[in-house]
Amino acid sequence: MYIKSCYIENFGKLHEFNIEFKQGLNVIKEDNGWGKTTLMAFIKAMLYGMIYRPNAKEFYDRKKYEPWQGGRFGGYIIFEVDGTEYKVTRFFGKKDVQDEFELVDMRTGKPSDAYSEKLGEEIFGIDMDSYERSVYISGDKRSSITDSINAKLNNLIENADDIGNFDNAYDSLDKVIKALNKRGGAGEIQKKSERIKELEEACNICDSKSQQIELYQNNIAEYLLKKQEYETNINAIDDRMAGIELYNKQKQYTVLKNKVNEAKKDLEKLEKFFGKYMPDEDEIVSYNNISSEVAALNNSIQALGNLNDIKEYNEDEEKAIERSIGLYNEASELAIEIKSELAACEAVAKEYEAVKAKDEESDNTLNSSKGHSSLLYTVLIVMAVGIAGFGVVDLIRSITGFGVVFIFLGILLALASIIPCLSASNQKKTAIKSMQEGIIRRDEEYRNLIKEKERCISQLRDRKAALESEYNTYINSKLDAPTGNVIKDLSQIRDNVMKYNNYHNYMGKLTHCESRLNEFLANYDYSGCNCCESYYEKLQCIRDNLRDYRLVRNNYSKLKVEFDEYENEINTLRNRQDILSVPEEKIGETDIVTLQEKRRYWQHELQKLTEYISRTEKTIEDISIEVDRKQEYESEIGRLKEELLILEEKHRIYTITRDSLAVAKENLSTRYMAGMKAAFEKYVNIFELTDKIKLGLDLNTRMEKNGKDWESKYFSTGYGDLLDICVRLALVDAMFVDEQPFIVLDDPFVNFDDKKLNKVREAIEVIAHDRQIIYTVCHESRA
Amino acid sequence: MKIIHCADLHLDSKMETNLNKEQAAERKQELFATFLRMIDLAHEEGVGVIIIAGDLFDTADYEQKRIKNRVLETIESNGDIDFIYLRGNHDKSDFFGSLENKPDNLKLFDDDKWEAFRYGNVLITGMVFSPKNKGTNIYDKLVLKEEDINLVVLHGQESHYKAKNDGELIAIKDLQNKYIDYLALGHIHEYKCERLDNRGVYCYSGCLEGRGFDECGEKGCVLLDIGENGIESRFVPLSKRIFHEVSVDISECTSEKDIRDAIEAKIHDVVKPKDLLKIVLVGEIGEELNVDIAYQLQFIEDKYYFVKMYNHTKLKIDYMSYRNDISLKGEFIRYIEKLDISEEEKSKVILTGIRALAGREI
Repeated sequence: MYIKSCYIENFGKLHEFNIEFKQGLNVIKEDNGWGKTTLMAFIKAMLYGMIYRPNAKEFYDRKKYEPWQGGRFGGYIIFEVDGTEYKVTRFFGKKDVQDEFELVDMRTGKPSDAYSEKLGEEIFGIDMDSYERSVYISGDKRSSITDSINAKLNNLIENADDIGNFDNAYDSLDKVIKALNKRGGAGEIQKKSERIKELEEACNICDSKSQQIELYQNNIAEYLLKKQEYETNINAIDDRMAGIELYNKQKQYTVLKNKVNEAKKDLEKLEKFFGKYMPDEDEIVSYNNISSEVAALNNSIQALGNLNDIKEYNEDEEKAIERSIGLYNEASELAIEIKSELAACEAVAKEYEAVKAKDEESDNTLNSSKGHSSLLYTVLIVMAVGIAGFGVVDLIRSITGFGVVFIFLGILLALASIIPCLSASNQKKTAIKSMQEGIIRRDEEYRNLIKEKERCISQLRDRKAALESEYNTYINSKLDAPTGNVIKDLSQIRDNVMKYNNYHNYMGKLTHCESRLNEFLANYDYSGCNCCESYYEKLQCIRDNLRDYRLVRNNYSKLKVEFDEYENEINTLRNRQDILSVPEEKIGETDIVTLQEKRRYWQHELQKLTEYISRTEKTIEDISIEVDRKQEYESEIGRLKEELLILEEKHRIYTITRDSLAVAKENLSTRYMAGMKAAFEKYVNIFELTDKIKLGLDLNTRMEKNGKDWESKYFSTGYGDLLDICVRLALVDAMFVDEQPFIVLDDPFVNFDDKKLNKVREAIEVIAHDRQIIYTVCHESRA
Repeated sequence: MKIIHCADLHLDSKMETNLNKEQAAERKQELFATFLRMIDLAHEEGVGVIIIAGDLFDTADYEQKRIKNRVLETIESNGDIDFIYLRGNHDKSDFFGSLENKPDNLKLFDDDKWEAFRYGNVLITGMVFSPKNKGTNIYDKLVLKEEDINLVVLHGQESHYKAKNDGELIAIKDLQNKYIDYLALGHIHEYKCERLDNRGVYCYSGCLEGRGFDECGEKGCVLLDIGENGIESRFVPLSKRIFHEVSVDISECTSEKDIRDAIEAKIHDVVKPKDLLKIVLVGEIGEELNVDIAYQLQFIEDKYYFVKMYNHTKLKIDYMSYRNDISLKGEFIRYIEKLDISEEEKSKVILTGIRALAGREI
């Protein structure tokens, strides 16, 4: 296929632009900005149309090549394919639905349906991107125009990076696949499968446990039947034993009844003794004490001795005795006093005589000398001292009994002497006068004093006699033979009174105690007692009976209870229709023993069975808990299975993806690379490159040198560009199978040196023999 | 007289597979709580009879004993209500029948004859399907009086073909014109009420609570009010949580946010926070759109009791456009197109391959 001409009405900056091409090499030498890229884009748009992307963010062709000057956006190209010339006209709207397309067969000038709007694909067998990636070959990456071309070329590489990414893609898929399904069972799928198996196994175990439970339930049903059988056996034994028991109980019933009656009799006897009043222990003790007191009182009364001569005494006797004693003492004192008075009187008399004599002397003396008075006073003092001294002696020795009187007199005399003596010097004269008067007065006083004394003594004597009479009268009335010793007699009287009082006191108490005792003892019936005489014996009898009563009462109560129970048991047994008392002749000696043994045996068996049933039920319960977990397991199985399905699907998808990618790569390689490699070698030869260059599936070139592969990044820019061109040309050869397109070389040899440029020019001309080349340059040196 | 018709309680069965252990246990408790709520409703409405049309339990009588005993205690403690129970295909063993002392208010149907319980002029009849009566013509033995208000209880799948008793199939035609006013059915877990004949209707009450995403929508029981005008029935929703399965077409989405918005638009105001949600992404998407389930889940999984999401989208691919693509990608796509696998798998393989070649996460 080759392009013959282009007419651009409006496309980018090109407006009403015409250009014609020839087969083989077409060189367009124009400056930068002329529109070389726009021209190539127009050709592509004519062949492939323009994509409409309303949401596209990038500046794509439809927008990019909108006519700068407005007007109809489009034009036409005339091209030849398989010898037929066609004209394709396209005008573009804002949207793809507004686009216009017409294909005209230039032979007939009529519209042709040889190709549709997908003209390019139909002619070349590749899509627009692939066409773009292959047709445009540019070397100058620095220019803005060639940048877009380079971008298109880079798209090829990017998409060729599909091949480059193949390994990573394959590895990442493979990694996931292995993770899902690792050898040795460590993959996720295996793990989940294992877990599901475990859970299914657990469910199976639950099922088998369910079956076990059913077996146990069947067993329990059997055991329950057996249990019934054992219970029946035990009941039969119980019935027989009950029959024997009834018989024995009936026998025992009579014995027990007699015991109860006897106990009742004893109790009644004691109740009769006690009558209505039942003492308690404390009461008996109290009366025992009273009894002891009675005994003591009797002893005390006996100890009082003979009481025959005890007269009656009243309560005032003590007072009388005391009074008598008082009288006696008073009389005694009077006697002393009388004696004293007598002595005093005697003394006064003597004194009187003395004084009288003295006065006479004094009178004479005073009239004589002072010395005599001193001597007188001295004699008087001596006399006073003598009298007083005699009084003292008398007092001490009770000669006269008037010692005190004498002392008094002595003092008096002394005073009578001293005072005048003291005042003698000054009062001598007056003293003589007063002395004389005093002598007269004293004489009078002495006479009166003696008379008084005598009178007093007489009174005292009278009084004493009265006293003596009184107490003696009392003593004589109370004693038959008084001793004459008043104190002794009164003492005797006192003793008698005490005895009298004690006796009556004892007797009172004794009466009281005996009264209480009798009252208490009268409550009880001693008719049956032979030994009860004394209070003590009777009280002891009460105590003993009380003790016996309690014992007998307790015994009777117990027996009564036992009897009542027995009676109930017998009645119960009698009420059971099925229990008949077994006749004695049918009871063997060892019958009960045998029955009990049998019963024990069946009871033991029953207990074992009951325990077994209980254990089995417990086992069922325990197992049920595990069986109940089956729901949990099933839920988890469900979840895991769902997850497993997802994983298995993922594994399947990823495996298909991985394997398909490998196949696709192989196909791609087969489809394109063989041809590409051959074409690449062809172009390498055309460009006379002698190094051993290899073309990889990723379209990257590698140089084999010194046993090592060197990537293109190690090449010089010019060398790299040339190899790149060879790759592109080879790609075009490989891609365009049916119809070879033209090739646009957009100044790709910018980096080449002159030597290479010559070679390149030659090579291009060789290539142009087989295909149309549109070669654009901006510098003469490369044209 | 008022009656409650319920069925398929499955009180001791396992819950939705993807719930975690705690949620599964909680749902079980909630299922029982809903049963109790139904009984509360019965008390509020003055209901005298609760008909349980089968599948009360799933397990053997020695399994899940705690729940069974709780049910028994509940029946016993609501002695003012009669519980009429028909065993279903899931009731593995006759738990109530095996009890030594059944509560007086628990009435059981059997499989050897049509059992009937009378409440004035209301007669409730039923029979258990079992191997014992399979293949026999049980419908001929059902004889009802025209003057009674007849309720018949059965458990099985409705079948509109005349047939013998085929295990769990209920021959609807054989039950027509038998003076049945209300055919109380169990087995289908969704409420459905249809005309039986000129006189009566047949009704599936559905289950009380959904247990999986195959039981979406409101669940509950049917309240029957029997009066002079006959039987008026209405569905009473009772379930605490509702299962929702929502398909979201993300064909028009170009980003992950678009997917999020599309999901939100579909579930907003429809799904409550207490509900369980299954989202299925469908539609045709381009290769550049990344559908990351885990990423999308994180925005919604905390808003609802339970969420799971599946990606059932297909890759929008025009094989024709790759016909002349000379790259490895093009070769790969052309190769896949020709493979003998389903379109869905092709879509997934191509998407995976393209992502792998682009070096993106697969």
